[in-house]
Amino acid sequence: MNNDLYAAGIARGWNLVDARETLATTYNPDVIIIGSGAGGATAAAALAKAGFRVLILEEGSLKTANDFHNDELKAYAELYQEGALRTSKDGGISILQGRTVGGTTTVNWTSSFRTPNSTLAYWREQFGIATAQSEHLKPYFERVEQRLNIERWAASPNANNAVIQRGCEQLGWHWDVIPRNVQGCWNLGYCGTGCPTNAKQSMLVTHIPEALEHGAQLIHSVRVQQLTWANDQVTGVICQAMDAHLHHTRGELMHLQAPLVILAGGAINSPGLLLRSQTPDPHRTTGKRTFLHPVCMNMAVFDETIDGFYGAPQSIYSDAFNDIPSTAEMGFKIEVAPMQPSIVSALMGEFGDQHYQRMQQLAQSNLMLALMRDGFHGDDHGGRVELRANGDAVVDYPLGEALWNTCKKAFMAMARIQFAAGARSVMPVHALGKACTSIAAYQAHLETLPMRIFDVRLSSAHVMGGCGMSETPEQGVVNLSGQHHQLRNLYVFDGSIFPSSIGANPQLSIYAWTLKLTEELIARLGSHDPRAQ
Amino acid sequence: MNRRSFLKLSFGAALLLATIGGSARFLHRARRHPAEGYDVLRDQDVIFFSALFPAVIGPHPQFQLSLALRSLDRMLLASSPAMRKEVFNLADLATFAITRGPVTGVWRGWQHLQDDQIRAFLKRWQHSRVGLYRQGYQGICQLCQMAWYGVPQAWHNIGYPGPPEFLTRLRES
Repeated sequence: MNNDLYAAGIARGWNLVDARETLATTYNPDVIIIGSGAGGATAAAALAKAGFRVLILEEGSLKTANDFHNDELKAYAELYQEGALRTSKDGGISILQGRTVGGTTTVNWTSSFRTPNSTLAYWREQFGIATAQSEHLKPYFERVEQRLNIERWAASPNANNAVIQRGCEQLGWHWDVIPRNVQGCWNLGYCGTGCPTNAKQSMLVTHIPEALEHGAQLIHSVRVQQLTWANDQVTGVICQAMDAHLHHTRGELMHLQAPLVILAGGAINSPGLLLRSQTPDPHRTTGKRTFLHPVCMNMAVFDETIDGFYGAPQSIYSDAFNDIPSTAEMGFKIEVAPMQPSIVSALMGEFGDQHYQRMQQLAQSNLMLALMRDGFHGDDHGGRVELRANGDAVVDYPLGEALWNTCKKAFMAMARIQFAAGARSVMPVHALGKACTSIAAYQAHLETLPMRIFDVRLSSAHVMGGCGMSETPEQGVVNLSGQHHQLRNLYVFDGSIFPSSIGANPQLSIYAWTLKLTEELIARLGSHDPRAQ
Repeated sequence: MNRRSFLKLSFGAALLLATIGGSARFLHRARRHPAEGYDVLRDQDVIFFSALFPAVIGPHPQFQLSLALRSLDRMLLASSPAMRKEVFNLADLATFAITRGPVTGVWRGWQHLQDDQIRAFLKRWQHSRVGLYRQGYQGICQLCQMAWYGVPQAWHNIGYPGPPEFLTRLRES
């Protein structure tokens, strides 16, 4: 049904390799980019356009609009890290991250916010990032917004999002329309399983094709096992093809070399690769300060039909509580989630009769999210990426008092919005959560619930940090150019360079910061020969 | 062991049992391969989840155990070695004759349990003070629920019409 971008591109000579067929490459790159998501694809397009020979390596496979069947389990298995069952080390937080060409941008819900000013101020003050200025970043944001057609959603919100609008309006709380990176969106609601109409302006349909059009090579279904390095230089990467279903690596190890390497595997995997490669880390900063923007949730039931599985999944938000508090607690952004049945079934709580009754109300239910901005307090160091015995990266994320106190506040705030919008009942997404029919009953119920691991169902879709930017090597992994503090020709351009969570959905921050850092890199390189650096 | 003494199990005891569970896996060596017809699930996993699935899903009129098990198998195949190991450890601990009773309060084989006995087991783990059991409860419920509600046969009864039909028609045209 679609004009298949990729079939047409390959016919025009795009250099696309499936490593499961062959890993032999005669391509002699100026730069190897590890990862094809928000960071990797943006850097690849800019470098390829500037005349560099770019090689992109992606662990996931190439799946395009024609493969996207709005089928949750198929999408989780094929397009997500660890089949969408990734969690923090102790299992306390579920983590949704993409693993496919285009990375998480292929499966995200399209919300596109600029980096909040309060976040930039914190980075300037705490990490010496003088460039974290909205005026300085503005041209990059504007260009990305234009390129990816990022605009406030002009159609009506679906009933699931309208709950925030109606509730906040009643309460006199802040709400606004979410800008989305879509063009000719059909308002279907299946962004999370891959856009079947190519309306979402993800990396899969924008920067990756742009890079390929300018001669870049993309090898997918290949895992980078290690970086090779000597003294203060990275020399290349050791990689291995994945098996047919992307479950394991197999076959020979291949050593690919380039004078410049850009790491863009996303938070968790980028620091994981540095740890596996035992890159110099004199201040033990690699993998530290990993932030999850953790989410707690409320489920409400309405008399009217919500059909939250249809329509643009996120179009309204509230920042009524998203400032940085002066206490150790966190601010939180309020949004809703798309409500396809498999993922929602895991959040309904209980089992047997009760679970089935709740599932029968799926079409009248509203799932609200509070995204808690971690990393904005001196005592909040977030999590730490480490390696499992088999070399896989995992984030150890301790759950502390500040988080639980924030959860309590967020549960109440969401319940107020949902009741104000006319909910018949509201239930915290908690292993012992019950549906309550008034705000007073909800508050009393909440006080009986233990705020502890596994009971409060926490999840994350915004993993940031682990290779933080900092002026000095003691505080981070890369400098203000994204250059590794110890390895001079290694750059990190992805969400892992942010020294805290963003305090908003992160994709636009990753695009704009990567565009800025890549163009500054190109300007410094001057000629098209990075060997002359 | 009655419910009261079960709840008294300290976290230390739970850890000890987890260690015994590791040994149980070792003793289970003969049963470490996937069961016939599955890519991941082993015989003991099939026994364990066959007992749990109907209790977790409840009175869904279209429920089909074979479909649900195959769906779970596919989910685990796409997950990570670490996740599969956790599920295997849980199933070993819960099915191995020596650990089953102390850990789950289930003293007979899973095949022979009545629905109310399985519900009682789930309730015990749901309300346990031991994190390991609450994690087990959450893991069992979420895996079974996601696996079943991911298959189209589950949708009609919960008012989910499925992806818009015109998309399928357009794709096929």
